[in-house]
Amino acid sequence: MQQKSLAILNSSSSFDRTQGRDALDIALIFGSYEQRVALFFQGEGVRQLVNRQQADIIQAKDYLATFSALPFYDVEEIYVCQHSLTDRALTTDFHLDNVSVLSAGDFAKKLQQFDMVLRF
Amino acid sequence: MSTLHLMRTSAYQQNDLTQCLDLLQANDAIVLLDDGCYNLSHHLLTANISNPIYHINEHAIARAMLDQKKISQAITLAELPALFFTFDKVITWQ
Repeated sequence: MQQKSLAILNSSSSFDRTQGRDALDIALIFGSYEQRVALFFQGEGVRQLVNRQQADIIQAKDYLATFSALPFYDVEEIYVCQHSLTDRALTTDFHLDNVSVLSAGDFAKKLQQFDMVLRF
Repeated sequence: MSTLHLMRTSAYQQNDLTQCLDLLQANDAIVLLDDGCYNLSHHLLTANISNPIYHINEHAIARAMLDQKKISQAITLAELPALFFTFDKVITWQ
């Protein structure tokens, strides 16, 4: 049976309810079942990648640190929308290494390649 | 009459800040809390606004909003209640 691929589209900022944390959990679960899963970051979602965030200061769970576990679950496709970064005057100083920065058009085309999309 | 506007949302996500600025009067002030701290880098606030702007320091640091704080004065969450009493009323934007 041909495996389905999953794209997780993050559009919420780091501490906006539990959106980011739930998205990461789903990615790790699918990864542990060796499904092809990729993370996409758009709009306010790009803020989850920003370096030097400090969740402990506001007594929030530092789920951002868990992003470093992604490679162990074979989740290595991480895409971020350049337009969303530029809109927010954000650089590519991320707390993750293997992030692909795509133009808005390429970002949309890449997302199109996946069988299922979950948006958070 | 003076109003303290508590802004908890990001202008990159919602238009609360735009509506707030439409209502802003000379004696009003704005406090940025939670995701409202992302407005520190938004052109709506960086464009010259003469009203006082404050931000909750812990909330800005948590979000790595570190070097865009020139337009705003940092206060702690503990200092916020005292600020309430220097205004006639408070509006929360969330």
